[in-house]
Amino acid sequence: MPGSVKYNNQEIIRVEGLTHVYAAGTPLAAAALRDVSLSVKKGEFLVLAGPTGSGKSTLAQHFNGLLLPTAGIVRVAGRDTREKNFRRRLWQLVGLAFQYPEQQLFAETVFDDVAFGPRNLRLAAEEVEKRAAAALEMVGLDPREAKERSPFALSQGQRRRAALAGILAIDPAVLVLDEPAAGLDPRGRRRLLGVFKDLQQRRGKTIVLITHDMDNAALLADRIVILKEGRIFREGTPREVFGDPGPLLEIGLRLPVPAEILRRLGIKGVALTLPEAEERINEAAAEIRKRWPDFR
Amino acid sequence: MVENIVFGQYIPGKSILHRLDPRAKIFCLLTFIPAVLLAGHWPFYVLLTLLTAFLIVLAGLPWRIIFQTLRPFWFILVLTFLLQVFFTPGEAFLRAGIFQATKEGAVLGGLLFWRLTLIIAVSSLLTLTTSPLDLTAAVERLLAPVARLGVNAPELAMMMTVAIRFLPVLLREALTIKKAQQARGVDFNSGWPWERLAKTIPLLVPLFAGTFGRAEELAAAMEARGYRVGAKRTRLHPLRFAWRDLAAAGFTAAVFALVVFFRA
Repeated sequence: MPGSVKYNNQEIIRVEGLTHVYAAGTPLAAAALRDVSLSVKKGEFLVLAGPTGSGKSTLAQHFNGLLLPTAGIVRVAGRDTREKNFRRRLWQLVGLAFQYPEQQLFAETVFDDVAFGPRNLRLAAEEVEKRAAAALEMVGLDPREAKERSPFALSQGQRRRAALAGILAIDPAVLVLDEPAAGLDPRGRRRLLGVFKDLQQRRGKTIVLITHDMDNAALLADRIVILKEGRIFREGTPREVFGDPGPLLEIGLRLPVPAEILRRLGIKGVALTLPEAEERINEAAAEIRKRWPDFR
Repeated sequence: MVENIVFGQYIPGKSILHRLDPRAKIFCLLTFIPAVLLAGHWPFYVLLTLLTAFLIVLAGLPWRIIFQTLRPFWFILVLTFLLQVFFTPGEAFLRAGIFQATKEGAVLGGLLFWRLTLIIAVSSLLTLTTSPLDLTAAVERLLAPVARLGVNAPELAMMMTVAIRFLPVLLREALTIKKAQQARGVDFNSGWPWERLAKTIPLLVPLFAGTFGRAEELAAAMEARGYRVGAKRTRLHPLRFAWRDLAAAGFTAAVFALVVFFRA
């Protein structure tokens, strides 16, 4: 029933009562998502987290129609992902980077691989060129060099970035990224995630990031959704979610460093709320500046 | 993960079938298959079917796993059946255009269908209950006589094990790569045949690259654990033929003999 629900301009993705069962109808059926409802707002940075097997990746694949709901509805830009004609174009609207996307590299040169998506969009040659070059620069690879090198001659980290550039070059309104920084060193990780934050803030892209890295989640997210066993377990701003650490620790997630420090202080009898802690830190900083004006 | 049981997968267990000597199991399979193919009278089919069911129960595996391993073969099974039904001359009971289904064909097709089903089920029982390591050891030992003719039995057996081991991995990887390319706009379900052929390149190149990469890693890992080509190896758990192995082999041989005897 396309169009039966009014499309809210603020929401780019709306998930209602989504249940997904793998191998449905066979004795091997296994539910990966149960009655999940959530929406992704246009231009927001949403982090999806949760223990292994909680259904994050399954949910992500519903956003661009690679998986279809067993029950419930997934709408992107107001249209049901089950509509065949829509699903065919959905990849242009929602770009999805799988875990270890470097597995998908295939072309003779890095440049051709990055240009693969734009070419499938049937863009003019100059436009393809422009987009691929821009995407390569965004991830910190040299477009000229990329025209001569085989993707198989790159280092692991460079291959990862090349693969992600292949998604960025499609220039989708929504980017869904499944652990894009897994296996990179801390600096590479920060840089890469910074690229996505930049895309959100400067270009108005909607980002859905799946990660286990709670420090970066707290730093980057406007909103965090935590899944557990296929259901939504926690949802809110990083402050709301990490402000109540008990349940997160119970399901085996780690806390961002500041939240962990607060928690340990609490155990030692120094119970502080987040605003109090902030105030104390500011006071301490002011005090330090007063006593040691030269301290930097 | 029960999600993707593939033909050739091993499911660990402690049943009598699991504990049987792998050489005995291979021998039993190699006598069971011709017995199924040669069985001429219907009582033998009942006997062989009951025997298969008995083995599945002995293996202590859920029936659904057996059905799961049969699933990839259903197309071939149904096709063989239909070919027999429509292309065996005889008394027609159904006509569809120039095709006619015959009673004789239905009987023949049914028999063939059932024979293949039994063979696939019992063969999968072998791999389901035998660890790849044991299977390799058994193949190696059984090939020992041929080794003198220049066949490198240990390497052959190792290749077989590795191939079986990596089938599920490859399958999973192929599916992931397919989805990743779909997310970049490849529509695998449309286009002219030559276009479709071109679309397999973004699928096959990464799959091959991944496989070669993994092969190198595997080789390095094996060498790091002391594997050398052509080296003489001993086993931690040498194969020992026990009475129950002899009994199993003897029993299957007897079934085979019975089938052959009554066929003549």
